[in-house]
Amino acid sequence: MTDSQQPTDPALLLMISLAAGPKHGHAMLLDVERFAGVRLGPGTLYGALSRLEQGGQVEPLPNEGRRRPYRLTESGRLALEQRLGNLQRAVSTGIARVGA
Amino acid sequence: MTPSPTMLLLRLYPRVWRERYGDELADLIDSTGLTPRVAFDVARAAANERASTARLALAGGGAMVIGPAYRHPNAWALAALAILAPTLAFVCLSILAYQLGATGLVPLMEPINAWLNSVRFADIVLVASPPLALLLAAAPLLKLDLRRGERSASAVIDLRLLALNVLVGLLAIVVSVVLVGHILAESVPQVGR
Repeated sequence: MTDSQQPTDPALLLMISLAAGPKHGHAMLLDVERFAGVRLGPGTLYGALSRLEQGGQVEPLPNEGRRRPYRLTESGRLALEQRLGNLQRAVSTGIARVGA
Repeated sequence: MTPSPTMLLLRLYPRVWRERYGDELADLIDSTGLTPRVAFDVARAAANERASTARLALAGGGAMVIGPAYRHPNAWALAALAILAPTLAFVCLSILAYQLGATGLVPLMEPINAWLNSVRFADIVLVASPPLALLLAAAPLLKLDLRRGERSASAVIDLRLLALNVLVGLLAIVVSVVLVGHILAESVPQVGR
């Protein structure tokens, strides 16, 4: 599968990663690479993470050395469920229309 | 202490963003390794953050100061001087050797001229360095302050004159003019031939 065929919205990928539990930046990067096959750059990852934090969808936990773990907030979990539901509907419709 | 490449990259971000996420991002870059791809990704993300901050400032959400070179004017002037130095030395030696009759310098200039003729792009670098030096020397003299209050937006340009930067900038202009004049003087007879 090429990069253009991967889900590449960094914010969505980070929320999916954090849905499994709190993680710091490097753990998120490895997790996203594992489940989505997408290698996020550090700048892209922190750009998305900062916007998610500003939007109240993730929140920081106390530092672990230089690393700071983040977790999904309740509103972040709801937003993720809604987005995944929308995606699922789109995917189901697409599959039905192509007759797969 | 010399700043690391990671620290230099982090300086591309707005100060407030850097203070909040800078240590964490630096740690992540240390973990992944600073490859050209990572450097490009971080620089692009920093540009996005700058753009977001500017949009926020203009939308009334705060203020933004654009003056990346404002805090270290001497370092920028010295960097400009270092870039200008080879061209400055070439121009001075050429004038002494060929215009002012210091014939003792001609044997020194001949291998330099031969090298310039043999190496591709060397002459372009020689001509491009004074304008680049001028930009570097002048950058710390300007700061743009964007604000938006409840009723009006403002953009204030802060211009200051610093002796070292102005001196290096003027030197770059003079070297550039002399060099261009020399090139034109050399090319006109060839066109007429």
